[in-house]
Amino acid sequence: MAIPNWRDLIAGAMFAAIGAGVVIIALGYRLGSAARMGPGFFPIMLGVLLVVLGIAIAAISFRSSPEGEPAPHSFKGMLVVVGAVCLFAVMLDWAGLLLTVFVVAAGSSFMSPESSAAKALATGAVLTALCYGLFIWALGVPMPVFPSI
Amino acid sequence: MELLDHLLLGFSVALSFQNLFYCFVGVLLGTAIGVLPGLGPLPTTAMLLPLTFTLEPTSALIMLSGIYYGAQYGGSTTAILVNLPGESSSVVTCLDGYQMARQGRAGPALAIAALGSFFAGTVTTLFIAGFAPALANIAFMFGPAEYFSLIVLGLICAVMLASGSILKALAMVVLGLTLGLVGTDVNSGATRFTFGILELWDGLEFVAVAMGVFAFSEIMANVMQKQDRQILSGKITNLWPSRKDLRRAAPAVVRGTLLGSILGTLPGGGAVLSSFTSYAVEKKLSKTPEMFGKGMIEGLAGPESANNAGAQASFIPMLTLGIPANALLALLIGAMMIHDIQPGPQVMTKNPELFWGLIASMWLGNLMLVVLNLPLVGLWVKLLKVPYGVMFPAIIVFCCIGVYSIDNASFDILVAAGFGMLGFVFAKLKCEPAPLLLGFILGPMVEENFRRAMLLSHGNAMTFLDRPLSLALLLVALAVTIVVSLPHVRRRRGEVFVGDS
Repeated sequence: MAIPNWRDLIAGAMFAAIGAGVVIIALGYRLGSAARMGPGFFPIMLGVLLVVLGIAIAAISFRSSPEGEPAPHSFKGMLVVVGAVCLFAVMLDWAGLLLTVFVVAAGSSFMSPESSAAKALATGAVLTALCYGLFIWALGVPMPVFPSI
Repeated sequence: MELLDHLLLGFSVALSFQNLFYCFVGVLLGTAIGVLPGLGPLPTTAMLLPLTFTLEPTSALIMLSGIYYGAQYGGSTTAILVNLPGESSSVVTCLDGYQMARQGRAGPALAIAALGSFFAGTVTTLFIAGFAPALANIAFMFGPAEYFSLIVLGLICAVMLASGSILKALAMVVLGLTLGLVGTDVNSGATRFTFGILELWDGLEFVAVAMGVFAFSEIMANVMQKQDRQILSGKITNLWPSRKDLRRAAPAVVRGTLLGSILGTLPGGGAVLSSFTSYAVEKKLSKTPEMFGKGMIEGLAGPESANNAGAQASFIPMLTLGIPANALLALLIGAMMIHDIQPGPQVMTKNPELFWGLIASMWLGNLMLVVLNLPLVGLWVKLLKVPYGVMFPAIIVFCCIGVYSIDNASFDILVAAGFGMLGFVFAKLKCEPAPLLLGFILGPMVEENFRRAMLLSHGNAMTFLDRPLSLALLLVALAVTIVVSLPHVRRRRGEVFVGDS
């Protein structure tokens, strides 16, 4: 096949690179002996295994064809989700639960294709109330609720 | 008889008001998320795990398990009514179940699915109760070398029996093993792969990893798509199947149950493998195989029983040996460890109320599900109409709160975000995430047993082959690898398997 299976090729390269990185880092740890293994022993073994597997996957990719359909995950979807989660992480400690949930829920809801500003705000409000009722009132999870200024 | 004593103990634990309540919550929740496509039992269990910390360990496990087999019930409802598999194990149910619904026989289809699953649940509960102690006795003969080989066998089976490229799945397992090593090495006190970040000294939080790679990744797959669901609503009258239906379905149910009980016990097995295999078996045994896919009741009854039996039977290796058969059970093992219960054969002797209580509650859960599902079908159908634009912010927020509540650390939420990104990359590269999670949870166990075995053998690696039990396990692993790699089997595997989560 002239055209390699790109997905597998990149995957193989990724695994091999990670494996190589693991080996390089693990070489800095004490190796120990086979009978008394130090912290570096097992990671190096795993790293080498990963490199071997990565090379094998990349090699075979030249002879195979792409399997199945492309994954439906959208790049924009990834940005929305990861962005929302990071925002949550950053906001929670200083803004408290209620404000964080409202902003994250409304914001991410707004990003979905069938949404509108009104629907997003409504979603945010409902979820904020729900989270308060469930996590703070009913379950008593210890977390900052209100902004700490 | 000892079995009766154990079961009595189990029921006395399971029938407490608290445990009944949590069982109910678990199966209700499980059915709900089983109905909803895009949210599976795995991310839900990950979400709820932190919230079970304050519960009794038995109650926590009862609830979380309820989610697992409850989701199998829920998945069949959507599969029959909407032709959308709520769970991967319900994919096969879509084939004939939906066709039956289109022929106006949605009621009997749902009833057969529920009754078949209940039968399977009852039989499998007895099977677990009878078989598990025997297995645990064998497990007491296990030393570190045997545990190492067993975990290797489990990981290899999980890889071989999963979908997609075997090599990539293997690589994901090894990557998971490596990620499991991040943090402080228990033996030497050295910190590994922490890159100077203090929060990583205890390792990566596995709930964060699970949420990132499953729940968030799942949202990314769905969020930008147009939601298009045609629900076969209209009254579902005439719930009861005809005598002819029952007569045809009964042998299929028995076969499915048997198949599920056996396949579920294998490491790497579970609901998905059981349901797919059952469909293939029913089709092979049928006198009219060409009618399959057009509303054959055997094609519904067999797989439905098999997936329930498989889901419950997969608890056996987890409860007796401490080896999780799939990623979801790995989370349950995590839950046990957090409650300071060492998973393994001693759970039966040290925590008998937990062990037998859990088994008894599985049967009770099945009973609740049969009672719940048939009347509540209308409610589940309404649930499907909630727009995704409302659903996914809820999932995101619940996941974040859940992860945060483990250690009150915003860092863990960032870890989840990071793994969400990785989940995106893995999905695009068609690398299955479940083997990664399995490897991640088992990584420290693998290293520890390997180390101990080598210590005991004074550095002699042949110890894994010298000890007969260990050798047997490794040979089975090799056999599985060879069988699955044969080109003939490889082709059939491709056409049978769709996906696993």
